[in-house]
Amino acid sequence: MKKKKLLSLLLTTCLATTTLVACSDKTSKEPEKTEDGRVVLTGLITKHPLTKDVNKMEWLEEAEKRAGVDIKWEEVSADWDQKKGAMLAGGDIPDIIVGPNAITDADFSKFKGLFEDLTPLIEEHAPNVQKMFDEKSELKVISTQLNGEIYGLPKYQRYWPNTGTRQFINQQWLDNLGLKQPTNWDELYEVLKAFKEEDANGNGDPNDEIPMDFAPVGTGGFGFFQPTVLLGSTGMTIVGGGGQGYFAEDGEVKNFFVDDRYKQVVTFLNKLYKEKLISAEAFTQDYTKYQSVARGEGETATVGYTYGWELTDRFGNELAPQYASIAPLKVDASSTVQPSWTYDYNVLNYGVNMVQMSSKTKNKDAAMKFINELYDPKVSMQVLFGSLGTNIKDNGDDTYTVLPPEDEKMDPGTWKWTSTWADNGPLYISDSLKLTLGTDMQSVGKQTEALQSALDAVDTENDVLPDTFLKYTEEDNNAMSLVNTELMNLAMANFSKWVTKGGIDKEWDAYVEKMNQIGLPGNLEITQKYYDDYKSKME
Amino acid sequence: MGFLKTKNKSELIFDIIIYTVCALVFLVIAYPLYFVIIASVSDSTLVSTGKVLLFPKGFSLFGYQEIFQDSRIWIGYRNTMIYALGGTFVNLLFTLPAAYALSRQEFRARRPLMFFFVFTMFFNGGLIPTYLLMKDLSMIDTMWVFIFNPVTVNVFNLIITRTFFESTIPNEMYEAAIMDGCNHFKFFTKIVLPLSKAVISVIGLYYLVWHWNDFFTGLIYIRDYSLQPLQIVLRDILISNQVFAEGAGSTGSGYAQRYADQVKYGVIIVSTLPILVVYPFLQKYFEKGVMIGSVKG
Repeated sequence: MKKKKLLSLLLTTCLATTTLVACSDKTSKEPEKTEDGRVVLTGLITKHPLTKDVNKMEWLEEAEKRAGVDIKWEEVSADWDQKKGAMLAGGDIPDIIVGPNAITDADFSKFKGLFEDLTPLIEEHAPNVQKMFDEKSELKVISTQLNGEIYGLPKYQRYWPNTGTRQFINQQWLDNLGLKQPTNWDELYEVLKAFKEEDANGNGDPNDEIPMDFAPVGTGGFGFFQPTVLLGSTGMTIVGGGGQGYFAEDGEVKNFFVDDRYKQVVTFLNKLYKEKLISAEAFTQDYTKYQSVARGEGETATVGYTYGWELTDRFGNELAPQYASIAPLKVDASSTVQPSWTYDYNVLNYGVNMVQMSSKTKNKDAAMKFINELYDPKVSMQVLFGSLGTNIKDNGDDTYTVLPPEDEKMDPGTWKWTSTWADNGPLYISDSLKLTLGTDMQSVGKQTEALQSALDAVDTENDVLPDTFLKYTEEDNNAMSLVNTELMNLAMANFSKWVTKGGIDKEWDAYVEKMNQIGLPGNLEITQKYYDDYKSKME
Repeated sequence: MGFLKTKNKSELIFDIIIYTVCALVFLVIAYPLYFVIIASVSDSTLVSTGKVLLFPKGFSLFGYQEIFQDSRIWIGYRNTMIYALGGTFVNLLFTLPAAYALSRQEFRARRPLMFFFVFTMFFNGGLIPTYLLMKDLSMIDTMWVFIFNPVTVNVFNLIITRTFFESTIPNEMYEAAIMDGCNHFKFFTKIVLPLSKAVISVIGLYYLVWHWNDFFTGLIYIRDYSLQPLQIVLRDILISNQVFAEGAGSTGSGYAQRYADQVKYGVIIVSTLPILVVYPFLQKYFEKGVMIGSVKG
């Protein structure tokens, strides 16, 4: 009997609680305030997985205090897209959303009315944002939607190099074999062959060297650290490591996937692959493996020629000194073309939609004041590198120095990402700021020197497609991305096939025709229109 | 080798083949598990270059250290325990009585109701409508969303249980119980449930494992980190130890590089071990129960 009573009691309580749960509604009409009179806001940041709890960031706490707000942060470090879909469709968004393109232009046009047009608020409460727009007009252009609204604010981080990809060759191997650094494709071929056939690393085994390796090639286009940089040898300036093949030449938008110079590069890569000079796993490994392999074993390197962001990042501290960064290669000794290189300055230094505000925010002025605070030159510097005191030293004469990591085992890059929002934050580093960078950025700068003359020779006006800066209408965007997906399915599959199995000469014409049938010319036309528009806006 | 005498040649060959096939199947299933265990204590670089096959190399417990010194993991464990036990209890609370009612021949609305249940197996509103429903019920960002959600009654489990009741509880038993003054409620609690241990433990385990592995609910509906289940916490630990292909001034830590995979494999073990421990205790019912009710006879 007792048992039965207990059970029924349990059941009733269970059901009762569930009905009660659903009845606590917490919406009030008035903006909440903290005890010291600050406005309470909700915020969401899509942060890097390494980044520590944002509530422990001193600079953020101070910025909130100065703006008179107290933000309850929700931190998202993975699967943002899935979370976002439900959130936007439910119309259930926090007051402030921070993150690199966390809300895209497509979202703005799809969910009209969910986000606040910041234009009037900027005039009223955001002198720092105003100043940024005045100093760098392109920042205003990339924040403005086609109808003139400003929903998301951008970032500009100034210090990043002109390219994400550098090419490295093992200088010690060259010295062991008495070879010179290659300056063109033919010499590269000879060098790689020597790496393959001889015991370049001097460990007694002539067969454990991988002459050349590159990062895994995706299915949706090219990216950093991939052999597309060889297109530079033909005088072509690609952006962002290649992307979906769009590039500009003399003010005209083209796509290298149907360009004869691309055919030339693929033919060369196929020649290397046939002779087993490219890692057999280049097309099957993942990025982790690509990185592990280059770290070799102890003092013994395994990879001869490869691509990366920075030497210690690519090879680890032990092997890094063996490698050297080399200048862009020519096609052959007699070539008179000025070699170029992938131009990534825009991709690396600019970002769109870094912060936006919900239109349901109860106290928009306070929210705007906070956003304005982030674009203060000193705060922006801390958004990027960490708090003053722990990550940045104030030298007292208006100059600043980025400090090395507190934990000696950690590298500066990881330290930066651990301590602050870094590249994921809304920020503006003005050209007048005097800041000495950390060792990692300095060495990136040094290793870019070999490529610098080629990059400086690039005509950024007419030979660089400002991919990051173009704003498309919804229809154009949808039409283009459908075609691009199809184009990439065909082109990327063929790239792997042609490099590994050859046959590009036979199949090229049919392939180009197929690409045009899918709709490449239409996409080029659309992009050209926006590119011309952008140029006229910038003048 | 006494058994050899009792068998003729063809039987012997047959046995050998059977044993070899069984051994192969065992290896195919067991080796990956074993590999995960040794990879979780070996040097990641050696693992990813394929040098670790049978024994751990470059032994270190860094991965586990990284996982267990993260205070969030204990919160995650606690939450998952609550959601799994509470959720499973509620699942059974709804599924068993419903299955009993649907199994009774004299229940008129049985067929149309069953149709409604089965219909939802194939068609549902999808993520966004469900999200809106949860929002209107004010269940977003509360622990209840883990316990009351569209999967509270899993139709597949409901059918298994219903078929079990239909095929193992004879109608005569109900008639006898009526004679002794039982009503449906009493008959269900006093007679049906004690006779259904097998099916209860089977669907209980199904529900338990589902709650244990449930990652999506936390991802979509929960914003307060202190409510997140273990799976979300483990995923966060895992990705903060990955090597990032972003390159470009993001991270390039050789430090993460060395241990990335260790954490990955460690996470697999940490998340599956508790459930693996539960299984042997339920296994005797499981073997009996899983096919029960699949055949009427």
